[in-house]
Amino acid sequence: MSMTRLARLLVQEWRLFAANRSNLVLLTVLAALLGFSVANGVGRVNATQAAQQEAVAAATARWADARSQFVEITEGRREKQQFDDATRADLVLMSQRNALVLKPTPLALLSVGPAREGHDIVAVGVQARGAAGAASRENPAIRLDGPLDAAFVITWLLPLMLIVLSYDVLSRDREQQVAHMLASQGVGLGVIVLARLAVRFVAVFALTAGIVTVGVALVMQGELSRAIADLALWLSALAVFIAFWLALAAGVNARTKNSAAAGLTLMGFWIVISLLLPVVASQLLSGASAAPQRLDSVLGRRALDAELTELAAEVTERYYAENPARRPQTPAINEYEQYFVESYYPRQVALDAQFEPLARLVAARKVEQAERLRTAALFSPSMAMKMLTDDVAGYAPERWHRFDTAAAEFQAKWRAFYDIKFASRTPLTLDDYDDAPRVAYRDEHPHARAVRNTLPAIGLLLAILLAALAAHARLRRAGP
Amino acid sequence: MLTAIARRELQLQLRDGRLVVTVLLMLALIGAAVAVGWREHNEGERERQLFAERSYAQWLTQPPKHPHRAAAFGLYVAKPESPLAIFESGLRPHAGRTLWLEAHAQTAFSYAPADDDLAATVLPGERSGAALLQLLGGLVALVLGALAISRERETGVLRQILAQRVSPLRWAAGKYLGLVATLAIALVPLAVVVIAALVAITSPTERGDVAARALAGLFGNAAYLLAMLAIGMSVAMIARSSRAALIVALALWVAGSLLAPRIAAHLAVTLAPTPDAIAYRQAIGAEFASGYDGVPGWSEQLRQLEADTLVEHGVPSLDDLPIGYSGLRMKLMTAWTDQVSDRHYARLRAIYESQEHIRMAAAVLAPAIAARAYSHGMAGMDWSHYQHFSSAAETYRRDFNLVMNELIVHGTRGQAWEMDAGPEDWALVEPFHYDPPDARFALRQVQLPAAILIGWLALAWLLLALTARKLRP
Amino acid sequence: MLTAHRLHKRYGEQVALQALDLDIAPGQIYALLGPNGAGKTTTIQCFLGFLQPDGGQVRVDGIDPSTDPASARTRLAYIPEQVNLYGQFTGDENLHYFAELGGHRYSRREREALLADAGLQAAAFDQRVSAYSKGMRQKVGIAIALAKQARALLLDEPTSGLDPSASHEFSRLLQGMADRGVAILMATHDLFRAREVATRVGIMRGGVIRRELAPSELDARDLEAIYLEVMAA
Repeated sequence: MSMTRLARLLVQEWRLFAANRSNLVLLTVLAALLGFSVANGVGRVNATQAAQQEAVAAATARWADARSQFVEITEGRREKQQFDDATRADLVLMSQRNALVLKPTPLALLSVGPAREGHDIVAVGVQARGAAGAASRENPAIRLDGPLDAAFVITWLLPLMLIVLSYDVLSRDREQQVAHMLASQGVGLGVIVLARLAVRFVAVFALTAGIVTVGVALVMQGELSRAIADLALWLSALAVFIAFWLALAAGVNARTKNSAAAGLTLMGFWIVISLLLPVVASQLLSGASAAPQRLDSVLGRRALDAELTELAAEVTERYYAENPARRPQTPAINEYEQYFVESYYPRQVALDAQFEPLARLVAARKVEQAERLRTAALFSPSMAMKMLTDDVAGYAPERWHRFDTAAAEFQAKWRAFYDIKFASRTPLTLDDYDDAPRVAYRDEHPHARAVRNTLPAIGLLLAILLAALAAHARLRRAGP
Repeated sequence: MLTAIARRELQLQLRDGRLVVTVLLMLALIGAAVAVGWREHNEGERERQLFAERSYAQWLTQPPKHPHRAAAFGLYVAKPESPLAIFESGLRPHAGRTLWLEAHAQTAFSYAPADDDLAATVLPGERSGAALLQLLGGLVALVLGALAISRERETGVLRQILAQRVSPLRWAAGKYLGLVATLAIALVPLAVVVIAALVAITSPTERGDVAARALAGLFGNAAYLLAMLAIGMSVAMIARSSRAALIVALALWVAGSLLAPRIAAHLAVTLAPTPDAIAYRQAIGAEFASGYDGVPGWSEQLRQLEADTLVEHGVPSLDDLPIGYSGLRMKLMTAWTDQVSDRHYARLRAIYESQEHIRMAAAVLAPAIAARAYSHGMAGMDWSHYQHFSSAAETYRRDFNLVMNELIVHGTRGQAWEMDAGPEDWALVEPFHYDPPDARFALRQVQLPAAILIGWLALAWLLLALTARKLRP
Repeated sequence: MLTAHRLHKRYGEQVALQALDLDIAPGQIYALLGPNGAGKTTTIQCFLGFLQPDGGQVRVDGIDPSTDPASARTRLAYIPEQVNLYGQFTGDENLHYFAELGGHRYSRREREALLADAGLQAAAFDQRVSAYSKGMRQKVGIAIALAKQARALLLDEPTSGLDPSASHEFSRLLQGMADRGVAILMATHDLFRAREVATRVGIMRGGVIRRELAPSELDARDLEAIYLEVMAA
């Protein structure tokens, strides 16, 4: 068949598709759901970006305020107070928390992911670093219901819509006894089915891709090349995902005379691929590679803290022996300051050093779980699509781990720069304010996300290959 | 005649290979979920026990330190779970079980498994046995109902049936009973297995309460499935073809079980937004500093305390006090913090209640939401049970905070702050003991979802009766 | 144009066609008469390539439809007993659609002409087919066949359910197509119409053509008598 004739066939099949009002209604419902979820995603990402900018600005402002007060004190325009003295390293540094932010990826609007509040902001200073905010107060019943994000719509609802659009792509012609007329025209039934599915593919893909792309354009802050790279990866996966479900419909319709039976069969596939396989994978994974147990690390940290508190004097002395420049040159100003400088801080440093491996273990377990899930995703296109979507939305543990490592490195740099002043009670200078280490974190390249999702991508490709081969084999011999 | 129709229907359904395979698959999945739930519950309870013991042991063996620092070190407590958690994990994945009780503020439950469990992100819902039963069982019931008369309609036998003496209503009732029997054959063994598992892991003293909860939970799930079956059959009665009935049934399932809970949740947080954690904390901080409704803020209260203390002890300055002023200050700060926190926590609880009302309003249109809420409640895994534990833990926290502050009062003099307390002081704090509420408490909490489920069942039966009367071939 | 040589077809144990021989030249109208189950529809389906013969040969303009169905079908037009079309399309849209499938592109005016030639009233061109009567759908089916410009036409009970004037009109159309050199195979119960329009008549029973004759040599009553005689044998 020539390309021109194929093109004309596609036009005819589009007209047939559009003449069925229920198809247009379904596309409208899909557009509404996607539009709604993407709009929410845009709002969420904008809120995160605003919160991050605010946190960074607040930290910068706090530092600038302290610097201004320092200048006023040195110029004699301001009195030193017991708890308000910008020349004292302990007071300034104990309250200064730099905000390190993990900016949302360009496709963060697609998924809420497992994240709680926190907007991916880490507070880093001389104290232990942590998320910049208290534990979430969100209603767990609401969290349990789950978000209506684009990842949910695309992973679970989109295949259902594709099934409804294509479950009777040939069986209805048989039921309505148009199939003989159709088959007698000289174009193979396989070609006709392919043309019909192509029309559905274009309609659904264009709609989905269009809405998501608009959303990405709204939240993208510069970084055009990264956005394009992420979008290209995700859209490719989306195309394969849509094609897979349509190919399944083709395979089922090849021999079915009963649309209801075809619909039921495709629903059965959906249940197995989108529900059963992920449930089984999830259950197996919870046994073989359980989520990291934070309670162990909590108790571990507390035990360490207690031990170090008991040996506080020894810990402090060891700290000064290892870091002679940090031994205080002047007596304590008051008992609060003495506690923080001579007891709390050396203990904190020792605690962080000893506890870091335990904290890394938690992160490593999450990475291990993610890797196993990606392997399991070889067997379920729905799992593959969800994992890939969550990854491009920025929820891969590897991404967080990279960021956390950078935060740890920055903290080490910050401490190395300041704690000699803090620990030895040496007054701050203007250079200390002006030469403060700066945060410069660059997120992972989209290439890393692509490499990480090799297995889910292979899973998707294998699925479409198998479905397409099966459909081709069955359609070759399909008759009216 | 009714039993004859029902018996025939049961025979036909049992001969349907596709149905048998589907149901077996569903049971295998739910069975596996129960097995996993059993393991998770056992491990969780063991861990909880160990955790509570170790946390308290850490408390007792703390080195000498300032009582306030000990209170800041605090204690961890973990919510115990009813054995029914093997079947219904409820809010646990998103609420966690542990509370950190420390000096400064009432904290939220921490370490929710869902925060770390990536495996949960590839599912559209929960993976507990109850969640799968409601999701897949609801689907099977709807589809069974929707295809209930497809055979008769497509072979033309329906015409002959309607021409007989049996009324369409009676015929439909007989078919319904037959389908109920089909579902029962599939699900009763599951119920037996779950109950046997519960008996195995429940202590004799708890068995009565667990049995009551299990039975009530069973009725709730049964009501939901029976309603879905009746709705499916109603759709079959009025649809013009089996295809139409099937599509409507599937659309109802997708809308009711997958979409509706998420839309309801979204509506709930839009209409009754939860304050974010930072805003919540800042609001408490602001009221702490400046007071509310005519009650003075911290500075004013501190000034008053100073004045009252000097008068009470008849000394000219705080340095002359025979007791520790720092301790008095800590007691006032703690009491004032608790008072302000209570106000905000009450507001938070009111927001949660509003959200729950909005979700239950949505349940009027989507009974799956009510079924889930009911199941959570009867298993002791809903917010009311978490709240019950949280209240008990908070009372305990305030008590031990008071003990620690008293130590400062009597362990220092004047305005001195530093002091060391030791193991004999830590032992003044008894271990945390918690009595979970009984089945009657659970039943009181689930009145609304129970009413919705019963309402839906009645409505579904009524709908079936009305549509059956109008049945045409 | 349409040839079958010792064509065999079985459905399990049941023999549908037994050594069937048929040769229809361009311009001929061959009426295949017989009761239900005689093998008429099976014969047509073999020519269309919808069924694979178990023995013998079937050719459409020298092409074997079982090995090269696409080529065979470009030379064939087919009107089934029940002309079912896409209800959500109008008559014109259905013609447009099927004509494109057949590899032909017609303008609106040309399609109107085809529909008019098939006897469909102009007012119905833009009505949805779901509102058409059986006769109207039949006419669209004829228009589709005309649009195909095929060299052979296969008809399965084309006049069943048509009123006499529609039937007559249909016969007129067939004659016109035969005059243009189209080979026509028509499976029918309608003895009267067969006698009126066919060049040759084959009476089929048990998968075999028992008698073949030229109806111009007979009147209707004779044809009926021969038919009944064949059935009784």
